[in-house]
Amino acid sequence: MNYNTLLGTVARPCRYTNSEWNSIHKDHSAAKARFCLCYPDIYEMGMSHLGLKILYHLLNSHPDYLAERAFAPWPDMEAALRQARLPLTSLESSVPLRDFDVVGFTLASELTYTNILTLLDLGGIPLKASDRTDRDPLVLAGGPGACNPEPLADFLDAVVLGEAEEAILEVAEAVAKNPPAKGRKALLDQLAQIPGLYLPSQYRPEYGDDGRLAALTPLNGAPARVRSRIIADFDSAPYPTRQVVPYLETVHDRVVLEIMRGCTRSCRFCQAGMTYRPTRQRKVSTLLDQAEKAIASTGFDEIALLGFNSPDFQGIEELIVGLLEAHSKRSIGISLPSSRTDTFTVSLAEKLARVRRPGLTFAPEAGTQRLREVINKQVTEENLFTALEAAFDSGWSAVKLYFMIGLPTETKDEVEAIADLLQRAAALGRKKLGERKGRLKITASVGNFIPKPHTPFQWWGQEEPESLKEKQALLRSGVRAKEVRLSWNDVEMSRLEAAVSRGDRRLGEAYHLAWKAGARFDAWAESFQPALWQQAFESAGLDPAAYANRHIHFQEALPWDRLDYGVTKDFLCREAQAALSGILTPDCRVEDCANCGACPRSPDFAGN
Amino acid sequence: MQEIICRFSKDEEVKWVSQLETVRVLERALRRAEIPIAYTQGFNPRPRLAMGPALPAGMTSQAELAALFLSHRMDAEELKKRLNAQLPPGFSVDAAWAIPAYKKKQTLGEIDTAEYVAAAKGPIEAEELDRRAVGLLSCREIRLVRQREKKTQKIDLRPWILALSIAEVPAGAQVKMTLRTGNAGGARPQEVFEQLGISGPEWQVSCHRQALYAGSAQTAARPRRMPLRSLHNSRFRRRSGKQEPNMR
Repeated sequence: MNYNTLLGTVARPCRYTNSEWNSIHKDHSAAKARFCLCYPDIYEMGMSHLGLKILYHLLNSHPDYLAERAFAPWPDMEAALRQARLPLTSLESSVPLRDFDVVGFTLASELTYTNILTLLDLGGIPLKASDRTDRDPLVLAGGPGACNPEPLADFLDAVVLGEAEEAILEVAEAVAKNPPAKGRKALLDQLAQIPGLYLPSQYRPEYGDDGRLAALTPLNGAPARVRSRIIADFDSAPYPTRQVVPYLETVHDRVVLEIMRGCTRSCRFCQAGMTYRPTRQRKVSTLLDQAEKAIASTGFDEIALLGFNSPDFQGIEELIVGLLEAHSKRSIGISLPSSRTDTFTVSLAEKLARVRRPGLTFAPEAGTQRLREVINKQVTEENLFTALEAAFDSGWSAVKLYFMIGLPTETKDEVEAIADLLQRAAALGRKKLGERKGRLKITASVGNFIPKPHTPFQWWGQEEPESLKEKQALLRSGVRAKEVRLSWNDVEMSRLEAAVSRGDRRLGEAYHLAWKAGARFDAWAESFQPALWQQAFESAGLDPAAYANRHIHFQEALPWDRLDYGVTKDFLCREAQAALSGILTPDCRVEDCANCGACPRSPDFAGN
Repeated sequence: MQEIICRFSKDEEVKWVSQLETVRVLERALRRAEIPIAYTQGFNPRPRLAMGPALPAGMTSQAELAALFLSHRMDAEELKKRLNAQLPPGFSVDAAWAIPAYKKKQTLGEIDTAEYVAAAKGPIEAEELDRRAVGLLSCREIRLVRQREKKTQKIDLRPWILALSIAEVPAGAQVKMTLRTGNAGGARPQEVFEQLGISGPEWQVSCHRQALYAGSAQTAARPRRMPLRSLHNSRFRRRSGKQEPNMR
């Protein structure tokens, strides 16, 4: 199968080029389990995702297994493929998706899900799991979005919950023993035995007269709760040092060094902070070794330290000194993403600036102390301003700030407080930078709050789009400083994201309809079509507001109740109530255990 | 600082890798090969290298040029060997040579001529294409408007076409052309194709760059530079023995 004649007619043809450095090309006939790992967005996005890299190299490092990659074709390429009647193929061997044993999807963002249907359809695989036969591959999914896979239940055969490094090898072993071509039923039965695997077809939803989900009943002895997988020994967890080096400039075009997993700061809106517990970190010696090997085998000029809060890494200074010692002579820069807002972060960044000045980002999230206490973001305005002052003093003239609007209990005054805070940050910058004030740039990214499953705010309804729009306008008019650049999220897009985040199985119909009507790349402003989605929801007999904007009672059945991510529902419920009373929950790495249920320290721990 | 010129080829499998992306391929391969490349100063240090005239995406080549500036001296053959071990499939350095120290920088700035050979299969016969090529060469000027994003530019293509010939081959037509290129202006292969009527979805064209060199009289007119010019001619133009693209 060859796309060559098509590539002259599409944008960025390099997306479909397959000979990248370190890409792995194995012999199909010798492999006992063949995976096509798909990322439902363009190449540049998918190749920035560490999870995909880990699984790709992990599967390929096994002599009997093979993994190749596929990404969502941009609409021009989709049209070209359809016109030429060519199937979508994997990059490495140009084999159509339908000819693999397993087609696996990374669920990274709810707004990429329509592209899953494109990949299945162009790959020659029936969209609905119930229509697949022994000739079709197993369709698997995993990743952060697996926290609530119910909207995709119609399309997926099985879902891996949590960290997949061990589970994927168990899946591969099951596939090698029982390839789908020899009988899907036997394979699915075997998969059901693997811990952390959720098979949507094993659960039957029931809906009440009020139109709400009443229950999701396990069938054929399926477990009442499926516990997500957690890698206990993170230090020795597989890390790919021979990462594929893309030709195209990707979003994260560098060595991504995963220094830690999990976060215990307990921000109440944060899904990853709840579902990747407990916090684990790698040894400094392991990381220095991984960085050395990864740089040697890729030739990247930057190392990014990945962790929800890299300055929280115990031994971060030792790590940074070690990395600088090993790599600064070769002009290899180091960056550390962080959501901390303090001078410690600035002092670390200053050390790194010797080679390449990293960007500085602070995430105060809300405009007032009261609201920061509601969301358990333990940062004061004083922390922020001393950090900003330190940043301007140490030579930064551009900083980035993250905020959210529409947070539970937020008032309009509190939105104005964000504007006020930005005005004062700009004033501070002008004063501190003096003659260099012309270079001052404060980028404020303002997201809309989205209630996410497995968080204390999962029950809270999102603010109506109209009201969010008003708040955006309020903020816009309040920020007059020309040095401040505001960026927004589309409110309709956020509503769709909220509806899908909290959606049940019935959304599958809306997905199918929207996709048939042309919905693609919904996270991209240029291709998102709210009217089309409205129509799809209506035709499916569904109301997006009922999913996105409604406050859910604590007693109601939730579509993700069958999924156990460690933190107990009790804990989430206690946290939700604490939020409304403005009571803070401390970081359990520093202070007392809050009994979240995710680690053996916790009295409610029920095992992994 | 030592300057080493590499002549490299880009094969079919990497023909969609653009010029900018090719720079990144080289930068990363240099780092993997641990070649002592010099870095630029400033906030964002970058490897010091300069590229010859950009190859349009979608074309193969056996004549790409890159000038590498090294912080420590190194044998050119050794560099070629180490770089080749670290280049992705489809890229290969076919020759590398050091530029004498007395030579001014911007060696590649003197490159002004490119030779292409293309296989074109489509609704117009080779014989007719040949007539059109002869017609084109007999024109005193070929005026056209070039559009690049928002800017438009009026150009005369004719002085930039140094040679053009058509040959009939079993599967269609073979187009050979020598075009002016580089900083002082030049013709793009695509523009010549369009003049011949080779454009549109019914055409299958594969184009290959065969040579790049400093061919203008300007250089020859300055005797002091003569040895360098002969160096360009002998080394830039030396064929690597590769096959011209198949006519399929």
